Amino acid sequence: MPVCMAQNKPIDEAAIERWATFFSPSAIDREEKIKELRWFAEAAKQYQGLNVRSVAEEIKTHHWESEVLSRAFEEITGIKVEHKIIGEGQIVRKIMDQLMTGRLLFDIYVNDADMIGTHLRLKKTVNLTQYMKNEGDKYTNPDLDLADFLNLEFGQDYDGNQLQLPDQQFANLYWFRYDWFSRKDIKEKFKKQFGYELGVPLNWAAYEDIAKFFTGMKIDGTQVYGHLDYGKKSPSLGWRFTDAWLSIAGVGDIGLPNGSPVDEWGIRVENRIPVGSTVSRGGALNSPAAIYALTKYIDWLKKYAPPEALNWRWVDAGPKAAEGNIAQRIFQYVTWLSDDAFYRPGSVLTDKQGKPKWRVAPTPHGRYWEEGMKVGYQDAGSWTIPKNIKGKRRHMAWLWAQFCVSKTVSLKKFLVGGTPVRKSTINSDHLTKYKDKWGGLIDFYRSDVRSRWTDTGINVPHYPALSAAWWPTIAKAISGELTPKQAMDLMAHAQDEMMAKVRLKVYSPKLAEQKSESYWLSQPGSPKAQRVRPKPKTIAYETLLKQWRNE
Amino acid sequence: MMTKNQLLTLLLITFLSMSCLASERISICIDNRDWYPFSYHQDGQAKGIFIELTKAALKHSKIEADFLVMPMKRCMNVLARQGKIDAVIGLPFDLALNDKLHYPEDAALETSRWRLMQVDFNLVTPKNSSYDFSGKLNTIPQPIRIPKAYLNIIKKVKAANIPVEISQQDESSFYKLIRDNTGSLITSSIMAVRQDETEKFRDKFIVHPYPIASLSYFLAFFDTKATNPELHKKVWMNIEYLRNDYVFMLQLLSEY
Repeated sequence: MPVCMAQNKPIDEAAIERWATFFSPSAIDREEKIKELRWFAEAAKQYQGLNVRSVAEEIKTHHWESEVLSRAFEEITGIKVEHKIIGEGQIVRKIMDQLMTGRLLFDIYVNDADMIGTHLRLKKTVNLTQYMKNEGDKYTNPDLDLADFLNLEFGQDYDGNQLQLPDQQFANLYWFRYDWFSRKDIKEKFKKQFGYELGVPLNWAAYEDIAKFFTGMKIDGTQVYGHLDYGKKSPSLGWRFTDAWLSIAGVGDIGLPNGSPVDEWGIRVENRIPVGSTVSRGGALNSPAAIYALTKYIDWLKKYAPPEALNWRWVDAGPKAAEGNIAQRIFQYVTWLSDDAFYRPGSVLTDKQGKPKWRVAPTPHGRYWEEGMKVGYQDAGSWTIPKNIKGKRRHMAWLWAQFCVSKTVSLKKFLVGGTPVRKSTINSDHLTKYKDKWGGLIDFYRSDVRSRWTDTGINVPHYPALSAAWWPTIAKAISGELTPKQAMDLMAHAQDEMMAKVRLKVYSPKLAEQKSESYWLSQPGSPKAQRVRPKPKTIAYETLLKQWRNE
Repeated sequence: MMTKNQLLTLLLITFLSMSCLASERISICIDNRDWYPFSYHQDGQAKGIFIELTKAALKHSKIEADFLVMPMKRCMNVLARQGKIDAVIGLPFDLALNDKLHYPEDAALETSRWRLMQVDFNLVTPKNSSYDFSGKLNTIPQPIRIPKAYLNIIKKVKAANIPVEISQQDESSFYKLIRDNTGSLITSSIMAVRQDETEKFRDKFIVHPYPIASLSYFLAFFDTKATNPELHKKVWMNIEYLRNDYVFMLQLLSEY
């Protein structure tokens, strides 16, 4: 256990100079970097020699923070950081333990903004807006520039107060082998078989056709699969669904960020109060759209993905497309694209010039999706301070969080982990020069469409409690123990039961009276009545790029 | 009107049901110290997080319990010897008791998966104190106020030859700390949060993050006919399951 006594030594100018050089490229120039780093050193002066404990999930971005940024922060400010990296599931357990029992486990968490609905209702985390205005003013970086953040609203409550500040974000996009989709022989074969052009699928009908087309095909001696996914019974199986799969199918209502009055978890919300998930209460978790979402997930996993995928978790499937035998993936977390195998010259996924043979594009929609709905998921690991972290510990934690998202370090951090949080990073000259290396990702983040990729949102009243019911039930549907309908019925009723039990400080759920399912299915919007398979649609990737660039 | 045979049948059914119920009822003792919110007594009734969690875990195994509030010495040395008590609530692992009690197999670890709860005991100093707890007990500002219910902590501090000022309850420790604006106190993390939520003590103290001690507390069983190792394990598993049930814990903790 460290002895913690503040030291108050002079600022280490040499360290500032050294790290300003190291953080290159950067969205700001050297002078601005030195000014920003010196501010951190000054603000932290009275805390030299003390230490701060933070925790984050196991992705490349956070490993880099732990190995590199913590060292830089200590050399510049004199504050030692222990930035622990653990699984996301464990983080949720730890933060809930700290919020509910007051244990001082960490000073600050990088906690997914998916939990914003929980935090705003429990009122046990620091309101950063209030903190920055009051006692935290002295410790708030004058160059923090909140307007420069992407998706700041993910961490805000209903009234726009910032409860969580983004540290890293990654969208979930459609990924495909651009080189194969561009080959004349393959294109002709597809058109002959399906009667339309091979291209980026705009809907699930086209995705399904393309998956069927590629599965079993041999391309340049490699046996190919038309789909990639994962299905092992584990908490990450729940994320596969709670991370907006249902909204992509079209379960919820029109309206950003999450659909209103029914969101992508199938929860109907009235005046900020969740009132039900079952169709009989006006929710949609067991609606025809939700059953369709689960059915398609299982069908494609079993028919078109490598057979081993049934035993993969999120982390196993993440970089698998880099092995070179996958034609497309409907649900690709872009954080995995930072894996070297996707870029390394000489890899099966790069061409002779070292450029990627793959591209990313918007996720195709299911048959219940309508214009105006969210189109995909964006994960926003966000700095969150429990209310029982007070005084100097709160100030030190806040300084560390701001350091990790400062303009000085953000571009370099993006180059390591591919998880941007600032517009200045995305719009930097460096990325303009090298954007081809990112297979369309930079174009995506620069376009206006990115605002349609959102996280779980504020309507989910208790993320850990509600999500706990999802993965064991989905696993039973995969194994055939339950039909998709039985599984969704079970989940919807379990979610309602839980909502009936939880009592939260504000906007606690209150279940609505039950009505017949036919009543709700005949009303406009979600829950939606059964629909038939639409005509498959594709688009040429080049046309899509023009749309993103408003050309 | 009931016939004689019907009456006999009814009596037999009642007798059988009672015998059946009797075999699914156990006696559990809790210490008579006031250790809010974990275990305490009100109007002769046992209350608190440990008790409610235990009740719910037993209910899963269709077992009911009589909770008997008494001095721990009487529980361990008299009633347990007579075979009148089946279990005890709210003890951390103690090697000296290992031959008398059945603890979960991982009880000696700092954090057991079969625990009722993990309780952190933290040092608290006045808000204007510049002291930072480094883990060295002999540097803690004195007087060190500790409620009498925190037996293990009192023992630990005293073992380091450091004087302790015993207080009746947490609240009196906080009252004296704020009033005198000197020294320190030791409390559970959950109690520190509760006190910080009160008008009287809000924002008036610092809780030091490194715990003086972090202990797993258990439901431990005696060797009696009413229970067996298989049942012990089942109940501990129920406890783990409930502790990981966010909705249950949210409901439970919001009561205190």
